[in-house]
Amino acid sequence: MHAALRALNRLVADSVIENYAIGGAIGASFYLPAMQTEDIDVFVFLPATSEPLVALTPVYEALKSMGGQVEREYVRFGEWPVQILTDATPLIAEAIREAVNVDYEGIPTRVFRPEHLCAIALQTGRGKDYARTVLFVEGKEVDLESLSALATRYRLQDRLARVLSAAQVEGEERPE
Amino acid sequence: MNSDQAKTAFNARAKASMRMYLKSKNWPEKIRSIERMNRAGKIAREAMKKARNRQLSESGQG
Repeated sequence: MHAALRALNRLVADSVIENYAIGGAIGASFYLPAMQTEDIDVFVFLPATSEPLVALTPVYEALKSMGGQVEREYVRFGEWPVQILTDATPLIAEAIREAVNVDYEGIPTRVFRPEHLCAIALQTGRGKDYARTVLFVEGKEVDLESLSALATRYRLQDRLARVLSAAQVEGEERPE
Repeated sequence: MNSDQAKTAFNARAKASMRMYLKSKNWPEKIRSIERMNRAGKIAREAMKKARNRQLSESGQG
């Protein structure tokens, strides 16, 4: 994990990417109990370019030069395969922009806010994504008002309603 | 903003910052626990694969 985070910070320092934030199950584990996952999902802002297609080759090349081993769509650092994903949707771009600065045993890094982790999970919409969102709601690790506003902005209200009806939150008023 | 509001805002910021600090402290332990889960999963998968191969070779299909 340490090697992967150092490499990601170096990508920013060397201007290979503008910024990054961790999402997926590893990002969720910052707020929730540990959950099984085999990779680290890293969402990146690439520097502006005039090329019509987004190319991740420079990112992979840079990670390789820092000791990462390319395996299919991953770059492995020790036990951790890192998957590099771009700001493919406005929601993801907002999540990267508003990610929180945190510390991993002395290494600075960035993690999506819980509301963005939930909204992206709702947008992805697999069973495990819904289940994770339920955990955020039940554990009161997400601000329901902010999540509701995000869901409205990104047209995810129906999906959020499904999660809220499945979640069991005692003494909590649900937003309309 | 009056002084009460300023105090409340300060307390909220301090509380949020403490919360993030505590989460940062716990995160590495959670990651280590995921790493242990993954190692155990790998061992289990390899053992199942060996058992399946043994079964196939014993039944003459391997």
